[in-house]
Amino acid sequence: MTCREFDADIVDLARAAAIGADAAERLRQHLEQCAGCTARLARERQLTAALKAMAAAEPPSARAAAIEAELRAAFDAQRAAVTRQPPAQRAGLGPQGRAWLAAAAVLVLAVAAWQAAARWPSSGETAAGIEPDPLRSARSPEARPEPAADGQVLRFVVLPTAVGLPALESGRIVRVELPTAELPAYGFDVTPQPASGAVEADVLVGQDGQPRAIRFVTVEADSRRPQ
Amino acid sequence: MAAAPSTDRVPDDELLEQVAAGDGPAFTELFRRRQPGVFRFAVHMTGSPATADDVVQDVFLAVMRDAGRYEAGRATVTAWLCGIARNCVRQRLERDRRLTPVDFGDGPEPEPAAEGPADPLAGLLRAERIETLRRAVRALPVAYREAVVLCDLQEMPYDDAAEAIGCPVGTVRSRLHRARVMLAERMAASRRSPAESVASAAGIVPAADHG
Repeated sequence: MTCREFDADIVDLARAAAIGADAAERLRQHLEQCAGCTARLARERQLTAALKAMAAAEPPSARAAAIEAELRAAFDAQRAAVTRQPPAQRAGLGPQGRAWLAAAAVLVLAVAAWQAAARWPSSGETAAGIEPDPLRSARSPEARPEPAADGQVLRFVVLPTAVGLPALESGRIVRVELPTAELPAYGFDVTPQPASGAVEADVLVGQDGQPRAIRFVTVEADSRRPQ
Repeated sequence: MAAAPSTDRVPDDELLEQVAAGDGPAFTELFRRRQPGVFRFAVHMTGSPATADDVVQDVFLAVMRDAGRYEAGRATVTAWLCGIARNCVRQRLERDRRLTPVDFGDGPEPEPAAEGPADPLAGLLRAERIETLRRAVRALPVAYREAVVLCDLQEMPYDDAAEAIGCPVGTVRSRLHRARVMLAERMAASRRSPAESVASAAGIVPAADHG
């Protein structure tokens, strides 16, 4: 075996990767005769050890639990939307069909979620178009707080305006603060109309920047009082 | 993202089938099992824990949507998830080129001494070496960084890494080989401390070399 041939396997040797018995024997014989390759192998093994130390030193995500809660809520919301469809229609449901089904489920879910979060009566739903601008004022993802853990609503509900949007391929959950006066623009008809106040919500934003689902988190004390 | 051997738990691919059927606890179990690996892959690739968290979200949103598309015989779930994570990372790198080769400043601080209080200097030096290596890994071109992160940092087998990257095993091996050469060169270059450089420039010979 030449040094060049040895070089082809040196990384596997340093990483203790699986090597055939015959090849291992040839490598061992070369090492006995070649001080240069022996030194190189020692350096490669040092690099492997350093990389392992680096991997072990990487701290885990500080947001893992929060992300798990957010994703699980979104998963449950998606499942709820699907299971609300009659079985005969559910069979063979594609992504687009699911989106429409989710939109149909929103009327029920949105009212329940909103009433639980805001404790306001609701007289119905509208499906006005969503302007994405309010989402642009969302706090940076790095600054987003942990999800509410005080018994308030944690379920995502699909926004009416998600109907007809492309299937969700990727997205992020963004914490936003919405003036209550803008809620009708998101399809939530609040009666009586509040004069001021705001609600905090987590918005599931799709790959196209369009909001797909919302989860109300807190409601300012003033805004809970009917005007 | 090395798959931990286990005999008493539901295999990943069965878990994924349950997720596809709408099983919430299965989704949670899969997340808890595989989130750490996806996060580590993303943080090693981007250098940003915040970005890595976003990648984790993207990956598991994709799992929600596409669990039913997983083909059990084609790749392990770990490789499949890594492939998704890789695409997410690449999209983010494309979107925000400032993430590519530089340190972002929001990465982890150097590790504290691991050798214990008896040898704090050794601990500091070890932490410094790890930080130097971390920077060297992040400075690698993306294709080479992927090979190092998957094969060396995640200890993924070549065939799984090839599946995640979408290239032949031979390509993974050659990229890893080349990446390690680059890392070794960068580490060797960084080994010369400023004090040593000054001494060298001034022609001062270390005491050990006298006589």
